[in-house]
Amino acid sequence: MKKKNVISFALFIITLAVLPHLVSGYWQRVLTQTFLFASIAVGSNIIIGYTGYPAFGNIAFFGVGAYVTGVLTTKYNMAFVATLPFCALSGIVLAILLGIPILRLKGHYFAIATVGVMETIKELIDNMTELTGGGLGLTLPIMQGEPEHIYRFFYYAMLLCMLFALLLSYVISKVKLGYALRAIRVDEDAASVMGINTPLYKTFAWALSASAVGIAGGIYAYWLSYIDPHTVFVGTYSVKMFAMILLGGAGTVMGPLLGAFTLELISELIWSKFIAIHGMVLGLLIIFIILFIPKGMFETFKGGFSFRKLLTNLRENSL
Amino acid sequence: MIMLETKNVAKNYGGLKVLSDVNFNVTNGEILGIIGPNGAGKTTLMNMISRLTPITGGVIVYKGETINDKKPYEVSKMGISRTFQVVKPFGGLSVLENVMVGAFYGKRSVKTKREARLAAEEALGIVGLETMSNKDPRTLPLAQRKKLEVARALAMDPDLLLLDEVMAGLDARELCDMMSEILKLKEKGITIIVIEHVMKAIMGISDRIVVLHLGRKIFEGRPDEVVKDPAVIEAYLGTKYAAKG
Repeated sequence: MKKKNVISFALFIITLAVLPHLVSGYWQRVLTQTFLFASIAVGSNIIIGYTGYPAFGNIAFFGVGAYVTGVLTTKYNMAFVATLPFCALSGIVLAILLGIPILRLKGHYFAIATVGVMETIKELIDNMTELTGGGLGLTLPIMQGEPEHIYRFFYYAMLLCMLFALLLSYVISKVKLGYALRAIRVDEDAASVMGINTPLYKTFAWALSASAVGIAGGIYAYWLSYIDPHTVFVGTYSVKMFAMILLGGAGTVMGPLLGAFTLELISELIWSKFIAIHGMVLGLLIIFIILFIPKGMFETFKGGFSFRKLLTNLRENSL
Repeated sequence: MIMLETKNVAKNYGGLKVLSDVNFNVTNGEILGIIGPNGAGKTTLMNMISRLTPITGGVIVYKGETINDKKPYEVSKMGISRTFQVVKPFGGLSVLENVMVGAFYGKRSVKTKREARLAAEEALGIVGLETMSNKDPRTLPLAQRKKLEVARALAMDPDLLLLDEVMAGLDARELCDMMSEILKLKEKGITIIVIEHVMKAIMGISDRIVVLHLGRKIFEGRPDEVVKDPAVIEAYLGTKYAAKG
């Protein structure tokens, strides 16, 4: 990493670290939610961006992570922090078990299969009433303390989760594994004849991706202190996650982070001012990304922002 | 010593027979050319040797071991590497990084980035692309992208190199250049199987030639014998020309 980039990133993290002492509880909540989506987007980028497998239903690991924390804190009285490794583990195990059959599929077929998986897990949890509370949901122990401290606790917990996902993504991009995943993304046959055990590496990538998303789910469950299948297996989260990855730049370390911050902050501003057209704006933004910045902001604006690049992309992508 | 041998190899797609009873071998350090008109089954044969395509019948033996049930990444680690007819650089990786993938995962399987970089630089040097290391491979002209394919295969440290039409689409100067590159690889002791449409090139570099037509081997011999064989002339030019010959 270049020295300039290291300094910029360090300044960014320091700013985020001191922000809770400077902004209101409302903005702390907004930023906590932004970190949540950034964790999901950065984590999912490992399978979607690096490996080129559109895991549209990756939110399944988020839901499972949320229930792991929910069940372990309520049924087994485990401390919240102690549940987080199990959230990561649940994602890893599930991704390995599902990856063996599903990662044989490619493109849209794989994307649809992951949505099917998410819906199946949601239905299973909905019906495991004894353990999960089913449709009635699960009420987690509420954190004790001053509201201000609680806000900050979740702010920093989610920030750490985002940093974990970023670190994971960065390390993968720099080691041998990263080269294999990018080769698989471009051409799986070519990767295979170059000696890459593609089924193994794809499964490994999905497992790592699932671990980060699972931890985000666990923190989210404790933050909300109430979960039911419909609040953690959310289809619109998948849409947002994809939009964030595409907006920032799939297959880059910082792209999904940039996408998450941009989309979530725009979304929050529109939500607060024009609640009636919130969904419409999200839809328009997705159309804008596809037409003007299909490679993402990170790749498109590498040398700086320019309207000419946007128009060139539009011309290249028009039918 | 025989490095690779095919025994009655066949490939069917449903009722369509693409290859039938193909027998040939390649010995250590040899360049074997495989030619044939379009649809003869050359690339299918290459795909079967590199294990991308399942084998319907027969046996492929490499270094004394049957590889019918091996996966592509397994035969690659055994020392078989290949190029593709349609060049497939890994976009998003530089020229050097593309070649490093070969060093990381082929027979060489180096552990560190430094080792992979050294192996990649060496392979790029062999094909004359050392000055292109930091370029995006998608921006290279066709001749250089074909050389990149060869460099990527070389970085894997192959014993058997399968070259699938690496000379197609090159101009006269690029063709001579590529031919001398291939002969240099032979000097390094690498056994090579070349599929090619460019007759001048394949005649100039091959020790032996196998001719396929409609999925069958119709001739095997030295380059000078190939051009005189009536069956080969008929396959390429039709019965009228075969009769004249």
